[in-house]
Amino acid sequence: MSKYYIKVDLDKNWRDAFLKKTNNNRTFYLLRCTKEFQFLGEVMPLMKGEWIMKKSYVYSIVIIIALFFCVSSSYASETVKFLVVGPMTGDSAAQGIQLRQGAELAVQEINAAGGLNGKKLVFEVADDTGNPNQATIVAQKFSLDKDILFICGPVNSSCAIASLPIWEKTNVPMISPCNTAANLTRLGHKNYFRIIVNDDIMSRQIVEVAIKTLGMKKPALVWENSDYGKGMRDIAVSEIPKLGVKVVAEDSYVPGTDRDYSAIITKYKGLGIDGVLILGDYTAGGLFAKQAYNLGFHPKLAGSASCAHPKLMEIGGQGAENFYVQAPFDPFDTRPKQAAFIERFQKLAKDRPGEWGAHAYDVVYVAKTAYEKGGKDRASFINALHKINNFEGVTGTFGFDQFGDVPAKTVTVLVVKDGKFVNYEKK
Amino acid sequence: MNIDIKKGNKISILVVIFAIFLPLVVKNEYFIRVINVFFLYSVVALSINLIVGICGLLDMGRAAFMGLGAYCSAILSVKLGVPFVLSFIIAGIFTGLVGAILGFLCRKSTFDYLTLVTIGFNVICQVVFLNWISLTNGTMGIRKIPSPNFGGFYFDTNISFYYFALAFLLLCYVIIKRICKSKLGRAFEAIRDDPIAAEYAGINVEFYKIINFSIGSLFTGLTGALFVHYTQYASPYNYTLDESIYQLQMAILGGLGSLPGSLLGTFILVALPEISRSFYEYRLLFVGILMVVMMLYYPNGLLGKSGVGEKIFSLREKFEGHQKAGGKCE
Amino acid sequence: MFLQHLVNGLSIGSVYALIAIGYNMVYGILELLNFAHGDVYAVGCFVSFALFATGINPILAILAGAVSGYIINIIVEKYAYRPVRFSGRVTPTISAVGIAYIMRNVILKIWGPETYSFGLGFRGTQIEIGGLVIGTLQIYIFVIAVILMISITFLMKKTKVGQGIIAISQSIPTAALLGVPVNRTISLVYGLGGALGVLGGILFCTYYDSIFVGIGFALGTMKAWMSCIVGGVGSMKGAIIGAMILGLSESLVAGYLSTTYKDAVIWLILIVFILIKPQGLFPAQIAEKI
Repeated sequence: MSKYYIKVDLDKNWRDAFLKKTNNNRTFYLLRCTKEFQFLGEVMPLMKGEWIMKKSYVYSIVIIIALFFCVSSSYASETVKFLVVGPMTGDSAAQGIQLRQGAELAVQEINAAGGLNGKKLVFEVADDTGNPNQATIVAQKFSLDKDILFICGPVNSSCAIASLPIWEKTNVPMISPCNTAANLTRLGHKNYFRIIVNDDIMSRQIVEVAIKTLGMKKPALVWENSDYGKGMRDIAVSEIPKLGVKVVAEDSYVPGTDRDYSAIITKYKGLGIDGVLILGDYTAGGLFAKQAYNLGFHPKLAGSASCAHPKLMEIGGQGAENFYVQAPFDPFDTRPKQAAFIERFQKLAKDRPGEWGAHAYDVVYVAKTAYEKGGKDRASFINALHKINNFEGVTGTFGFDQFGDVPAKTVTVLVVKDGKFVNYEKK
Repeated sequence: MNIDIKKGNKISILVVIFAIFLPLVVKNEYFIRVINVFFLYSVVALSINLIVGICGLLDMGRAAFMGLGAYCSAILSVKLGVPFVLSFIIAGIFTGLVGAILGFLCRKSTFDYLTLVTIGFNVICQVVFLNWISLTNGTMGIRKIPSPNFGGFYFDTNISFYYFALAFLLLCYVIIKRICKSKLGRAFEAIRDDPIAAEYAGINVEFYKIINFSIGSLFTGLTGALFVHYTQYASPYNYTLDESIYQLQMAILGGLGSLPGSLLGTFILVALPEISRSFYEYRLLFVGILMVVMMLYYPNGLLGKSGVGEKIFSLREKFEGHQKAGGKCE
Repeated sequence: MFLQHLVNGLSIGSVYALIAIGYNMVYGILELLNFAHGDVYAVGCFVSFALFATGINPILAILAGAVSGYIINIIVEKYAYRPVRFSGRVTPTISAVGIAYIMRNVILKIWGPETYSFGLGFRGTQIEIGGLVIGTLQIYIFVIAVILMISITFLMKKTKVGQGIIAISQSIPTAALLGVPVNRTISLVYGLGGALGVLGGILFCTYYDSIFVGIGFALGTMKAWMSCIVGGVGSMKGAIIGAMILGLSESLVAGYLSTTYKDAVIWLILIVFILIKPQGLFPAQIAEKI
């Protein structure tokens, strides 16, 4: 067995520490000893393959990690880059992932057709977990990247509110596919656009459907305790009395954890409620519908946009029959353009698209239009977006107003019949 | 004059000097922002260390106290126009008081129940933040919170805030270290190691538990307030149970009972998600694995006894016999 | 409507009871906060779900789930809890939290955060008694909970293994000296706790016809813990009664007070309960060794 020796400093502490290390078996080493070293005087035996730690190496590793930050990657200028921001983990992860899939599909198609004026379209994905603090950190990180032309996202309105000031500092345009909070476009941020109809309009519409079309006389509201649900509920509460009906009861639930609506259902049954407006997502809608059915409570059911998902029927079962939903996008749309899109999306994502996937898809195409209208840098991109009228996407036809909203867009209403969504035609 | 400066102090002075000159060299705004966040989380980790590591009270609801401090300061400065300095200090005192009250209510509770109560408190606080609309704006949060300012001078750029946060961190670090080395600190450690023996040694266990909880909460509250003055937006979604566990892990990683360990643990858990965004998706999984591995092999954290730090920089000759997590604070 | 709230409360309470029994076995015996209880049995439930989705007999799916819960718990105990068994209170608790996060993220990676329909093909019927609706499933769950409680109490008192478990809960070194195979018994306890948890979880999912990743922590760990605290640590019938009380309170608070603040109110009640009667309703006589 050959022996190797290591040069040791004259520093007493280091030598003592070294001695201690070789005397016990559980030690932590970094540098592998591979050759012979001579010591000036004392010789310390070391076996081949033993490892030795040097403090300076630890320091240098720490410094390297610290310097690692300063490196930011950028693509070659033969590409046009944008950022997809959304909750890829956390409570709204399902929506964030769909967002990314919609954008991915659009990017694939655009690149296959030659790209943007010959340049390849690429995107990066950032996870804000639905947490506004994270959104600001993401914004800070990516707003330094000069190659990013625009942002597709976020999903949560609160994340948009938190991060917009930072994006605005470097004038990065944000086109949101899903923020519905009504006041987002009135906060004075010139770089914010959204292609989804806002809660003001959507809430009014579902209220109309519930009271006028369905004829609810003693309605109740079940709303999701989040910025989305609260916003819808506030507007509903002010709109329903205008149609001559009083809201008999309202209850909220915590999205993501609350599953049991039996207390609410029992209460409503006792109050003689004839219709329930569900301002939340399809999980809540489905569960409520099923539990109500099981408890012998059969009110008229209407749900807001987030209920428009095939899983509503899967979860709701028998109770979901005759459930009316608003659908900024109908996952079972049979119109040719939409049906083709749904098929392509299913190939990519194995699931039908909901509003998030469809709107993200449209955002990328809107961006393409703006780019081709001369929006090559951020400022001209914003101007080009404002000039867009009558863009025809899979989610409808629209153009931006001076606030970045799409006021002229219409939202369809669907109803569940025999376990499928059917387009409801207003009589 | 023979000044025998201990090696530990030499390193600290070097680090501080390095920290002071860092923003003059590195101009990357994003980098500075991450370091600012690191500074703030370090103070939280230090306060967790004080409560969990030094006194042995497993608190899993720290985020709630951050929220309390944050909302207190936000409401005072936005709705009532109170100047920053005042709202900041009042927020800290308020959180400390809440901590004292909670400590008082739980003074007789055993270990498990205390943990349960802190979790419950976190849940309650979050529900209140979300729903007490008139006070907290609910889910929309409080916007346009002013940056920290002293009589006209605003710390509103990343770099100016950097120095403010650095000063804050140094101050808190020094104070907590002094507490650890004082009679209070010894009482806390006695309570952690064996409450019954401590009681028999004449230490009023309940009283010291309350003091410990309240001081820890004071620091947490101050940091929470500082956080929202930095991001200029207070949102109830930042104070969840997951956040609490993540913060707890920062203190554990570095070593419960080791103050420099808290800094190291925080740095790793703040920096890693930034280095690799794909890591970010797995961060909770990573934290979980880390917790188990750490408890099996390095229960005292990286810089605690028998930890990685020891093996690298072993300066300590003494090895004490007990196996419990937590050690003398260095 | 009060009676209906009562029925709802009792049925959700029975579901909690099933899970609390599993939790109590570990908590009562080792006084260890098994933070990972919920998330581990959630994995078992998902295994059941995955198997059921392939179309096999529901009974087999349930059994497979329970067995996987048993095995996972035993493995976790051996590698993550046993080494730190005597290292104070903080270390094992944190280890358990770590396991919980790992399990939860494994589920997230494989199945995602979505809610799936999981009803085991059970077509429940409802019995209507003068406006009161009681589901047959609710009755089954209640009955199963009671049967389990009786059988486990019987197991503890009359069998050798049961007596061994009680001995361990009092003093591990003494039990070892008396010849109780400590490691094997503790593994058995954890495993049983896991299997029971899976059964409870599956019944829970069938009750709501849905399964998602959150059933582990929110339900298993938190609710089970609360039930045990109310009922008294270490007491089997305490766990069940505590669970019923919890279910009832939830139902009544949601029905009569407010659904928005439901969680906060329940926690508040619980905290007050802890502070007033920390031993629970059926306290075990525990003397602390100095």
